[in-house]
Amino acid sequence: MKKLTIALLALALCFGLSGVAMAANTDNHTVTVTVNAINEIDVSGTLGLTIDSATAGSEPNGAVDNTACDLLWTTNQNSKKITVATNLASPNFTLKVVAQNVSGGTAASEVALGTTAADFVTGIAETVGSSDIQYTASATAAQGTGSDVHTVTYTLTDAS
Amino acid sequence: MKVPTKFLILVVIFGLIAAGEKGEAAEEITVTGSWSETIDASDLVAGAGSDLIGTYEGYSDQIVLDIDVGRGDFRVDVSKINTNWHSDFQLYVRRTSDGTGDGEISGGTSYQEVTDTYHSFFTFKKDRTGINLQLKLSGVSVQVAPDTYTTTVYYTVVKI
Repeated sequence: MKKLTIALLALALCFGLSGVAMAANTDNHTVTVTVNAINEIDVSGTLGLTIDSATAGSEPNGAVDNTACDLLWTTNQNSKKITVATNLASPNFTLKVVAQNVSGGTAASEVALGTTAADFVTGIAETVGSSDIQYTASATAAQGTGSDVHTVTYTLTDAS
Repeated sequence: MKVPTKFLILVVIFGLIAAGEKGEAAEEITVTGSWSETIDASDLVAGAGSDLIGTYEGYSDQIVLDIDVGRGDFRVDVSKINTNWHSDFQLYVRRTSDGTGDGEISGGTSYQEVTDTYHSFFTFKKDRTGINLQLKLSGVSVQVAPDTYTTTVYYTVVKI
């Protein structure tokens, strides 16, 4: 009788639990969004600067332009900056550059272009940015005449 | 201790009835599919100087629901549990097909936001298979840092 009792109770329990186990009224799926690092920069425009005037008794007047060339960038990372460099190792004349009307960063001080990268815009983080590029060419009377052709490279890079 | 035979029989009968009721009421939902989206520089609206496209949609049949409920009035609720989810993101879901089955199905054909708490998605009667769902993600911008973001969307059948 005792064995029968245990068997019947076990049977009842199994049937009862099996109903619970079969119930699956919830299911799910995943959504995965992978955001890759984005660091895009684009410079537009070509510029020619001509030094052809002077006040008598003074060095030639410099040539300035801040409308021909613009810079655009997008990054989704922090601690970024833009540097500038030229490919011309030994220019005859001085060419300076500075960012103007900057959004999405802070303009660095004006620099004379060299083959070593110099800061152009700093303080860039998770932003869309733009700036005008101002070039200033200068020459002394002693440097004579001639032409320098620069290929200027802007690089969006880590600030550190 | 002696247990009366009649009592045992009653226990077994109740057990079997309980099992039967649970089995019949076992609303079973099966979710097939998942959604993965990779965002990179090709998703910029207009290259450097522009932001990312803000909204992305999966396929109209990205997710498929099959529901086995027997008959009655039922509702599917939807919610999500985040693993690593950006606070700028909003996830939406909509039903793009009725699936196959007898009885009515209604609601859920317009996008509704999937939040961390359950919300009513659509209602239906009787078993249905092949209910297609589409997902939409918004809130994407360059202010979302590179990472892999994951959430799990839950669908639950509720008898109403």
